[in-house]
Parts: sequence; C-alpha cells; structure tokens
Amino acid sequence: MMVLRLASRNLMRNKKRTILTATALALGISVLIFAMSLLDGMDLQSFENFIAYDMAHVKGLPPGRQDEDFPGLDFRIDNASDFISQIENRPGVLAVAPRLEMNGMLYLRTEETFIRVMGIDPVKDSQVFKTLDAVVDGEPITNGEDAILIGFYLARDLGIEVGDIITVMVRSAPGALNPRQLTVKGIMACGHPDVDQFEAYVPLSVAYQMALLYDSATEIDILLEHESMCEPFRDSLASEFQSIEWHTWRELAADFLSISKAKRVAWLIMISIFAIMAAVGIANTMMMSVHERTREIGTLRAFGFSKSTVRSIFLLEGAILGLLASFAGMIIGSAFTLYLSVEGISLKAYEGMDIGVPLSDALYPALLPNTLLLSLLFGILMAVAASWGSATRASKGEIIKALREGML
Amino acid sequence: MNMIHLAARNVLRQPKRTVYTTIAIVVAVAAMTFMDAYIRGFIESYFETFIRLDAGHVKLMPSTSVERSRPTPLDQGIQHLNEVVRIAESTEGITDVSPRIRFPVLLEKETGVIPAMGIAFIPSREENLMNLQSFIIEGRMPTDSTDEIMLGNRLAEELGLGVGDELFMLASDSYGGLGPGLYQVVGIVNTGIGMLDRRQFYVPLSAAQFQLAMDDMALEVVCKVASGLNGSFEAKERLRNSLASAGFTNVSAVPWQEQGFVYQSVQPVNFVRGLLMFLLGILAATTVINTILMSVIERTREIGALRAMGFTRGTVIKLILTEAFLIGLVATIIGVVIGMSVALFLAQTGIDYTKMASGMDNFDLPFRLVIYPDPNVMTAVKSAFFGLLIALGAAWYPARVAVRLQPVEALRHN
Repeated sequence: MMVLRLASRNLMRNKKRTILTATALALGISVLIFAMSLLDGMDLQSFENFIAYDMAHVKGLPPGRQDEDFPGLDFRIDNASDFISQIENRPGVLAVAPRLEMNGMLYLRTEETFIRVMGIDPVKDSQVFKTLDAVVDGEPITNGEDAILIGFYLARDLGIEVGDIITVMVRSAPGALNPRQLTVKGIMACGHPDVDQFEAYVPLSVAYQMALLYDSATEIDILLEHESMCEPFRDSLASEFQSIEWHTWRELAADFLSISKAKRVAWLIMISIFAIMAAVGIANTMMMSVHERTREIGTLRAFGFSKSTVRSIFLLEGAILGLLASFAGMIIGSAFTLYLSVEGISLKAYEGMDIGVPLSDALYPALLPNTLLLSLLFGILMAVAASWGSATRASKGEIIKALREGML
Repeated sequence: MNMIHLAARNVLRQPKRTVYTTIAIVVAVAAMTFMDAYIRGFIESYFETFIRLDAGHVKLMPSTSVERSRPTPLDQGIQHLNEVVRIAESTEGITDVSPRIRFPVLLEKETGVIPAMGIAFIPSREENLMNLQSFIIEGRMPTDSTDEIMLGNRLAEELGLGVGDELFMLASDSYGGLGPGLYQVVGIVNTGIGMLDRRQFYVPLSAAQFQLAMDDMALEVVCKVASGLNGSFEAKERLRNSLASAGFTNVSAVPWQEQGFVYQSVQPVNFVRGLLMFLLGILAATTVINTILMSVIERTREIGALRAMGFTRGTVIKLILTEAFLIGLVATIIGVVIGMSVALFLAQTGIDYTKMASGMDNFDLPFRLVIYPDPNVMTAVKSAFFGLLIALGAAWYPARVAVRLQPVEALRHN
C-alpha cells in the first residue's frame, strides 16, 4: 500500500511529464484498438456474407468439383432430393437446399457478359440463404416460373430492367450449348460483390431444362442451428455419405482466412513500430525520474526500504502510467471506432474491384471486448517493460554514495 | 559557431538522454523513409501494370463507351480504324499506337465451359505496349495477319492445350451471330497476374476482325506518350484536337487516370500514409519534448546564469533549438540511411508476397505479388525534412519554458 502511494505520488509530482508520456502510449493504444476493430469488423462482416449468400454452414460438393477453376456439370450430385430428405430432419438442422450452378453468357440486344447461373428451389433456398431477401427491385422468383433474378451491378452495367427479356446460354450436361430466354423478375443487391456482379438465379425447374438434367445439384447447402455444430456435423455426414465431399464454411473460406491472418501480421508489424516509439518515451521518462530522485532513493534505502521495494516502487510507477495511458487510449480508440462502426467506412471507391473481402457497400469496424482487454494488458506490460531498466538501476548502488553524491 | 559549440557540448553532457531522443527520431525517420519507398514502389507497379496491360497512357474509345464499366459491344466499335490509327500516330508526342478488340467468349473444355476474354491486337505494335514477349514461358508471340493464338498459362492448363495444338471457338460477332474461329496455339504467357493468366488469350487483330465481322474496326486504340505517366492529359488534348479536325467526333480520348478505378483507388492509401506520418511524428515528438524539457529544467540555474551574463531570451531559445537541431540532424541522417538502405536492399530483392498468397488462387488482385520499394531522392529529402521538423517543433515548448523565469529567480531555483 505504501509502495502504491509512493508510486502514484511520484507520478503526480511531475504532471506535465506524466501526461506527455502517457499521451504517446495512449495514441499507440488507440491506433491498436482501431486497427484490431477494423480487422475484426472486416472478418465478421465477411463471415456473415459468406454464410448468408455463398457457403451456408456445411456444404456438400461432388468429388473433384472444388479443384476445378470452372467446373462443368460433369461434377454433380444426382438424386439430390434423396440426400436432402435424409439430412433435413436430423437434430440441429435448420434447413437444407440444393443448388445447380452453371457458367454461361447473358445476352441483351448486342450486350453480352459472363454470368454464373444458379438454379435454386426458392422455398428451400430462402430458408438457408438470404439471397432472395435481397431483392431491391421487382419480385423474388417462385417455383416453376420462367423467370430470372440478376445482380444489381450486372443489371446496372448492362442497362437491364425488371421485365426485360434476356437470353442466357449455358452448356448442358450432355455438352451442347443451350440458350434460353427468360424474363427478368427481380434485381438483388446483397452486398456480396461476387453475387451482385456475376450471378443470376433461376428456379431449379428452369435450371434442369437448361442443363438437361433432373434432380441433380452441384451443391447441397445446410444451415445448422448453431455455427459451432459445423465440424461434428460435417464429420458425421462425411462418414455416412461418402460419395459427397462435405465442407464447413470455414474450410471453404480457407483462402480468405489465410489472407485475413496475413493482414493481421502486417498490421501488427506496423503497430509494433508505434509500440517501440512509445516504449522509448516511457523508458526515457523513467530514466529521468530515477536520475532526479537519486538522493531520495538513498534516503528510502537508509530508512530500511529493501532493494526490491525500491524497485517495485518504480515498476509500479510504470504500471500506473501504463494503466492511465491505456485507459485514455481505450477511450479515444473506442470512441473513434464506435463512431465509425455506426457511420461505416464507405467501400464505394472500390466498386468492381476485387479487394479480397466479400463486401461492397461499407465496412463497419467491430469493437470486441477481447480487443479492449488485450490493449489494456499490452499497455501495462509495455510500460512495465520499459521501466524495467530504470527500476533495476534505482535498486542498485551504495546507499551512502547515493546520499552524498547523488550518484547510483 | 560559438552557439553551435555550446549546444554541442550541452548535447554531449547527457549522452544517455541524447541517445534516447536520437532513437525516437531515428525510428520515426527510418520508418517514414521505408514506408514512402514501399508505397511508391507499390503504386508505381500498380499503375505501370494497368497502363501496360490495359489502359495505355491514353485510350481512344467510342464516345458511348466512356461511361461504361464493361467491354464495349462489338457493333459500337471505332469505325475507319486505319484512318484513326494514322491520325493518332501523326499526333505530336505519341510514340506507339495499337488498336485492340476485347471480346468475351465461352471456351469449351472437356468438362464444361471457361468464360474467357480474347484480346485481339497487332502483335508487332505491342512490343512497347503490352510487352508480352518478355513474359512468354513457352513458344512465341503470334505474328501479324495469321490465325495464331497465345494463351495465359493457367488457361492453357485448364484447356489442356499446349504449343502446336488447335483451338476452336464460337464468339458472338458484331451482328449478334456466332462467329467461328480456328486458331493454332503458338505461345503460352505468364504475366504473373492471376486473373489475366486464367482467362485471357491473345490473337492477331486481322483474325479477330474476320471472326467477329469487324472489318476496319476495333473497340479501342491504345496510345503511348513519350512524356510518360503525367503526359497523358496533354496528349489527350492533342489527340482530341487532331481527331476532331479530321471529323472523328464520336471517338473520345481518355487518359489512364480517368479509366476505371485504378487511379482513384490509391487515394485512400495516400490518406493512410499521411495519418501514419502524423502519428509517427507525434510519438517521436512527445519523446523529444520530454527529454529536452528535462534537460532544460535541470539546467534552470545554468540558464539563469547565462541570462545574468547578458544572454537575451532569444539567444537562450536559439541555444536550445540549436541543441535540438544537432540531435535532430544526427538522428535524421542515421534514420534516412537506415530507411534508405533497407528500401534499396529490398528494391533489389523485392518483397515477395507470392508465398503468403499461395493457395489463395481465387483472389485475383490486379497487380503483381512482388513489390519492389522505389526509394528516390525525394524520399530521402522528405524524410529528412520530417525528422528536422519533429526535432525543432518539439523543442519549441521546452525552449519557451527555459526563458520563462527571471534570471534572479532562475538562479535561486533548486
């Protein structure tokens, strides 16, 4: 207690210096908080988009399909409804839906572009994915009708409007190119750039006609009650249905996750530069402080304070400084982050460009409790580590010499 | 001289403290130097790649295509191509002119279709533009006026084709019909940019004009300017004038900066650079303020004595600023040397992100994955200025503190 009082009094003795040193560390901490929150936000939003529009929780794929850049209909699951009916009533399963994906061309007047045509069962698909909720113009498609839903950017760039009749050409399973005219029933904007730029959705019945198939799927998507059930569920499916490759969304997003990790490392390197700068500042202040108080230290020692007590006074000074700075940094960093997590950081400038995240409108940083805790620990440890040298110095040396000459 | 001597002695009196101040500035300056070189290197290669493979310095395109983000429909291309090319070539300051057609086509492979993009050009005109001959890994460039084709390496792999094989394709022509084309594979190219190597192939313009029913037409004419990156706006004006005087009012000249999102997309990078500089500066400055303030307070009596001996306030301020300047100068030199050496070293070896990106094939970034920092004289000058500014700026407050007390009070100070 005594030590604590001494340490905090010492810090108060030179307020300006304390504030100045703390400012440096606080700035570092707030940058750390913001950077971590930005990355966390990017991840969270990306995960949401992956699950909601692309991967669901667990996905069944025909063997080999994932290794192909542009897989054709040779890679498919036949009798998909058998598998689905065997899976959908299991405990923990919210919904199961088949999808039939084909690469093709879209034509409107003299305009043409590549698209990914996705055959879906509108009822089942809307229980697994949120794609059909993202229709911003027109109506979602329903079972059996001759209609197509297209992505917002695709529609805008080609001047396609609801009600237009477009031609879509895909290669059917037997291998012939198969064109088909369809009415645009709706336009969707879901915020996943891949979907909004390259995808079009048709009812499964239409997809079967285009592909010249029946009851086949290129993927079976499963949504579970909880994300944490993914892995055990994948394992049980994998042992039971061996003709299909089962993947959790995390496995499918492995590319993304490894990039996200790499980004974190790059940011940490940058932040560590700030940390070094802040540490130099603290080490500097503590050195001054020991230097100034040489006589005082001698006096304390002469009164019977042990070496280790003197040392802990200085370490504690560093810790308190770190605590203060971390708090200040947490307040500044959180305020800035929370403001942006409401406002969002616009990604409009990157429209049409693959920026490595499945996001298109805005990025919202996410401030997680872990980040705050981590930065608090980081700040205090940093400050204590930076005071170590000075504290050790203060605890050494002859009492007499310190008293007489002011030298340690 | 006397002032510098005095300042130097004061600086050396507290070697440890001086070292701390120096370290703070050195770290900031070195980080700033390297960051500047790194960002310059990245942006430059990004721009260079974009200009080389797509935009040129200035691109002539049908006026109706200027606002479009997708390829121009084939029926809306530039007519009277030979005349347009001739006009562009005779425009002052233009060194290379090459007409191109980009056309989408579904290429058939054994198990499906590949959405591919054909680039039709006159190979002999592209030597200084796309410069693809430097990236060929097998075979050679197609030659003018033949039915030869060169494939991106990943595309060739997907199709299972090699040099000597034939490739048949059906592409929609300018009338909306399907135009057949039969090509002989003569080369495989690896540009190092995933999205091109997976999807693009290259054919002679004449063959594509025939296949797509586009006689004497192209979708774009790419121009290279003698004066480089920044000469594009001036060249655009000249091209526009010469096209207009020949009656081509429906052809627009667009500088690379106004094509697509590439130029705009680096603006946030500049903002981040500014922000980092600011933060680095503040961090270094707090340390510098701190140390100099200490040293000033410790010397309160001494400063009192100087004042009593007739030093004016201004002289004392000058003395302290000189001290800071000396420390700043040494630190800045060390910082610049460290930052520049690291940057120059890495400019030779390159920072290779390919390994980090391996297994991330699905991320098609529009630039090469090896970044070469590009330090130049301005990098060093800017960082040096930055370092000295930190040192002098941070010393200002302690200098004011030093002269706040009356000489008598200062002398009495304990």
